[in-house]
Amino acid sequence: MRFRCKRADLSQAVGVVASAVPARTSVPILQNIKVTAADGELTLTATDLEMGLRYSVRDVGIQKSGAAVLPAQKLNQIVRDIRDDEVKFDVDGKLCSIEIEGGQFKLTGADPQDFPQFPEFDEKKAVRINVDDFRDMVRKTAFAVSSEPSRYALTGVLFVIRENEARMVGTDGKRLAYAKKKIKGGPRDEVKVIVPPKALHLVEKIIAEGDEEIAFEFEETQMKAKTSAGTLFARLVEGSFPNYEDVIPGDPDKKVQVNPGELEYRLRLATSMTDDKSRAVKFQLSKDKLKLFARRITGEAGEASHEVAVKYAGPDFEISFNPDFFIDFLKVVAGGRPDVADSEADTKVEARAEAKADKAKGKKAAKEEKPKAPPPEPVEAPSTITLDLRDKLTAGVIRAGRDYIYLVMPLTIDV
Amino acid sequence: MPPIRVLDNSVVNLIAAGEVLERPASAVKELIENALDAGATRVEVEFEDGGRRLIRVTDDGAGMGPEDLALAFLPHATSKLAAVADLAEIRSFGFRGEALASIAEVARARIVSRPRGTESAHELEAEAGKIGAVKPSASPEGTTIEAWDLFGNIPARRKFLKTSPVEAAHIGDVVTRFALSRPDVRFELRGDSIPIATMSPVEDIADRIGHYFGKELRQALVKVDAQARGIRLRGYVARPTFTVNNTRLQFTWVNGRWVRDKVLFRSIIEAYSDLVMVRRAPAVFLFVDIEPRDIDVNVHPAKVEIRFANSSRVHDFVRDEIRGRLMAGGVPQQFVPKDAWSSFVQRTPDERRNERQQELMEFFTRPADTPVFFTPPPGKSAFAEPRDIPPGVQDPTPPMRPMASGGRAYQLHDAYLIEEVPGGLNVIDQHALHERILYYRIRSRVLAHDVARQRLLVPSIVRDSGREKVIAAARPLLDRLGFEIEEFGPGALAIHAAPDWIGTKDPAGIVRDILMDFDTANPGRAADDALDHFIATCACKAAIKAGERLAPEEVRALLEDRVRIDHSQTCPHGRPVTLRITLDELEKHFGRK
Repeated sequence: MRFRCKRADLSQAVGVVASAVPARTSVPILQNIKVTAADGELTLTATDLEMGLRYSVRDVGIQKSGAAVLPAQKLNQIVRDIRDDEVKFDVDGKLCSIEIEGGQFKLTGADPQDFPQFPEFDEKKAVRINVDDFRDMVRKTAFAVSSEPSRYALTGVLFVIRENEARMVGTDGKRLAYAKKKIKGGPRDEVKVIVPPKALHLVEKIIAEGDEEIAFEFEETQMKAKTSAGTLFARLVEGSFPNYEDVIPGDPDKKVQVNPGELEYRLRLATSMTDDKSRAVKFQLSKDKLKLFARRITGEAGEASHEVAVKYAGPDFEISFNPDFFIDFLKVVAGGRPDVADSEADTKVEARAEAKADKAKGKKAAKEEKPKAPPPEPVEAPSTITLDLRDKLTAGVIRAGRDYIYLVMPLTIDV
Repeated sequence: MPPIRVLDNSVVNLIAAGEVLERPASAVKELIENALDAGATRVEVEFEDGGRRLIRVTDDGAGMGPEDLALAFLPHATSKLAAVADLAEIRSFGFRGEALASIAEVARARIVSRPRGTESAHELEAEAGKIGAVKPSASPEGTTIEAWDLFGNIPARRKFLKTSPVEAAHIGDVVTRFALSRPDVRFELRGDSIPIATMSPVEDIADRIGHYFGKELRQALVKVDAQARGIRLRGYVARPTFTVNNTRLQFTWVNGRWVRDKVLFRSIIEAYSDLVMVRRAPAVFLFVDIEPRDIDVNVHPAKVEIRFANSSRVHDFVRDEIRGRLMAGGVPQQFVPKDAWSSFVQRTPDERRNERQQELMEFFTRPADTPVFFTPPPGKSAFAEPRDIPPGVQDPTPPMRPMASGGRAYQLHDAYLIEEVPGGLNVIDQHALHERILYYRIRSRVLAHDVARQRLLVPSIVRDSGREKVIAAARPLLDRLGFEIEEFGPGALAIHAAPDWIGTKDPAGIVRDILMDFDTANPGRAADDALDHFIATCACKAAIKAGERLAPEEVRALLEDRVRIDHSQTCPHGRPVTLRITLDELEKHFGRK
């Protein structure tokens, strides 16, 4: 195999597939990236067997087609570190030489025959979803999943696609985020699968500039996604997901309207005075007023009391919540992404390489090398959200627009 | 069938003697008690052949004139008790009038006594119950009692005596107990004419403890002295850093009488619970003084067992006082006092910052060998009374304290943390530490009924069919822990809410573990014990495990959390948390010293 390609394109592609390379594995070949050159196209593949990514680089000068399996971390580092616009690869068996102006690298790879096969995408079964809709739903729900492996079904995002509608639901059993979108078309038979959040984030990684749609193919135990440049496969999460529609309580008699930015700001202030591990903020409602109250009795003891102007006409009422659950949601409403405790192995190889690149080139240079996938559309934060409450034992329901619902179960405090 | 006969006095006395005198050491005990009751300031104990051949106790007490002497060997002759009413107010060691009579039954006994302030001494002999006549003799002031050929006339008992060194050791133990309880009395012990111990009078029993059990224990002692509701508790308890593998260093005296009492032992165990490792026992030297009418000492002929009229009051008082002292003297600055809130609001941030700077300055300017960790900085008296540690005593192993400048810490093998601390390094078991932090956090919240219950969107179901009884028994405790639970058909539970401290852990998993454990736990365990056990189990289940990789921030957070708990010596299951390696040890190892 012999080819010559633009370093920036290659670097971006290696960066994308490296996020599927497991940081730790008992199968050493999985710490490699498979590179295939054929028909003017370079295809990079990586997998941890649970999920995998394939990403293509076009406009490559291929002198001799073929395949190679190269160590992911080294490859990633090399293509990031070099400054030449173009690189030349020459692979003979397991030996790979990378040539640039005035120097070369020699890498020993593995036998391409030993690399796992990548499943093919069947276009005929494809279900298509708009890129922005997909991104938006992932952003609104994936953060809420459980990180506890013993509640396996809850570690995934429920992904439902039916005619004219797609939904995603994430929950950890204490709060639940539910987003839906109108779609054009859709399958006649409803698709309902549980997808690991990491797979959803990897789908986002293969979205290339100009992509409008993502095609999905669902099988019994796996999901595939395809964009113009890349393909993903991921094993689905098995198990039963709670009936998300049933848990949304009906007939709330206390309806609060509040500005999300203001609520987030005040909650953050109050949260600084919650206990380390017992994070409870009391919500005290009275006419057009929401008072947030937190007290800390261990360590640096203290308390915080903050008021938020709201629209509320119901009776005086008091309920406690874990403020973190609210803040996660409010961040999303403001257009951001909550910090998600990424499941292990996630993008570690890439992160390490990036860190090294940053050191080698200085931050500015490194920044230019970021994958050029378009940034998500800026989200316009709504000026009001509604919080519906019923009683102290029932979930608070927050709505931001019609298509985004968030449930938070209250805390009850013994005294 | 042989006819029933009333036993001859001598046989009765022989039987009674067998109860009082189990072995030579019991005779020594009775005789020393007599000496102390007589107001002795000096007691000499001599024995030969483990006490079998001879026991001799000499005191400088009040002594007896010829008339008293004549009665000395008669059963139930005592100078200490006149009437039944006095039984309720016993303040002396002896009172049953059995000691000398018993000795006279089972040995050749001889008393020589000269009352204080008189010129003449008299003596009396007795053998196998036959009492001789009082004869003039010569002796210094005080009394000497000799018992020759103990149990010579009871071959069965004599056969059961152990080897002479073992019996000698028992005698030594008896003398030790008295020497510890009466630091003002001079004790001398000689065995087979060889001096074994000579204890000059001292002010403080800490000195005697040090003499008997070594400097290390002496330095670990914390003084206890408290009084409430008719009970006084004084003495010393050793910090949890000093332990032995059995309870032989647990000495308790009630109204000066050495006793082995279950109530007191339980208090001690509970006071030290989770501060010492399993199968390690602390050292305590405790004197309980209580109104004589509040105890019954007349339970056992040897008087080592007693009964408290209000045992739970004694138990709680002793436990809380010991616990309080262990915590207070232990780790200043790492411990949140009860009035944290008030001290917080009374001081401005600047004041607090200044204090901290002052602490740092002191830390760095203090000579290396002064005890740093147990001297609270000025103005911090809220944390502990600074000077109740006996002078010259310093803690042998200063507790871990992070580097003032933010010591470095790393995780190794996804299981251990290594932390740089002044004077060395700590190797910490991450699971044990986290478990302990959780244990304390949960415990304080549960005990204060301050548990926030996070309600669940969908109840978590736990099935444990066929174990309805276990479930029923465990429910009240689960409720106290913060689980809101409902029966969900036979052998199944629905969890509606879980305590917030379980974090992201699966509530069903924790409840399942608790139920599993509940089965094997001792059903007779008191509810508080069971609760404690549950909390320990919960903490264990909810804590990070070995094998979990921690981000550097998590490592830091874990180590910072540590300062909120009182001690970090062992996890609630008794495994150690921290291995401390000093720079000294490192330097020795690498030949730098």
